[in-house]
Amino acid sequence: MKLDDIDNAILAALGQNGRMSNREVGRDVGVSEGTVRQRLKKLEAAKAMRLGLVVDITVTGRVTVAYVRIKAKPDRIRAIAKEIAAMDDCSFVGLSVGSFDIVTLFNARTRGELAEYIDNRIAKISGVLAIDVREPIASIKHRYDLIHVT
Amino acid sequence: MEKNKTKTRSESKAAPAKTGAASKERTVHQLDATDRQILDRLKTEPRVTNKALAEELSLSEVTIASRIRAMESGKIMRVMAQRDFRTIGGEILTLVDIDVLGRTVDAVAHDLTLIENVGSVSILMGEPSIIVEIHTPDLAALEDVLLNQIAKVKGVSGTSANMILKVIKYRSEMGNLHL
Repeated sequence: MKLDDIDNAILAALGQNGRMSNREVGRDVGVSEGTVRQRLKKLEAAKAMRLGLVVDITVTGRVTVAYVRIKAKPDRIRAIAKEIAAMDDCSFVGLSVGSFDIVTLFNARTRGELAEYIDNRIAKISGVLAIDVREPIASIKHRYDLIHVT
Repeated sequence: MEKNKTKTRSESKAAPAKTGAASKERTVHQLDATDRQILDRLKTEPRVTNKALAEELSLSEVTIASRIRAMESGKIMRVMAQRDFRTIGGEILTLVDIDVLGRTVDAVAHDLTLIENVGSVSILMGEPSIIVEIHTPDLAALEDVLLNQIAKVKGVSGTSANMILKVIKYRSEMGNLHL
């Protein structure tokens, strides 16, 4: 979807403070409240953005992070990805080309809980050939203002 | 973002190289029941007015406003517009494992954060030393980032890329707001 200057200005204002009312955003951008409402509706429908609450990971308690990467039987890749995406502690699932077929990210409360997911759930899914677990010890850049709207 | 970047930089300068990563370890915030109620409500309706929240929770509008302000300034939460990568020319997501040799991992990781297409940088123990997520509009841009930008960072001794064909799940309601 192509965004114009007004769309970008609305997103910039709400990127700073998402709780501004449409009227306040309109005053900032120089358009009517109705225009802001319509634009947001259109942008959300096109999955160009999401307006939402972002909570720090320490509040959610999900401080144990791990990339869990999987090699799988080709005819099982989609089904396995879907099954892992349904897991509560899973934050990201992508079908991948490269060393792995599926790349996932987990945010668990404890390492025990993470191990439970890996050893007792993912390892037992039919078609999973190999699991590679990498635990970041520090995150030094993360653009939470940019996402993939799925 | 610029402000946050500056903060990260000064932090890593102040801390001894080896403890750079450990110094970022954090404690779990304790919120009270009212904070939790406000968060639950904002989760389902992020732009609910303070007035409506006050009525629902039987509190004053002033209390609601100050609770929200405190959680925002404490970097506990933010309500915000999150843009899709595709709206800024980030169609292709690629995760790159990076091996480091002859330079500290912290120094290499810092240089990688300066590359515009790099969306996240994580430091690992063991191999690979670093995993970065990069967003590019097309294959030519991906080639440029991998071979002209990442490959030229001093200390990068090897890379291994996994290009994402399709994003199945992307959780966006959680983040590290302290970076």
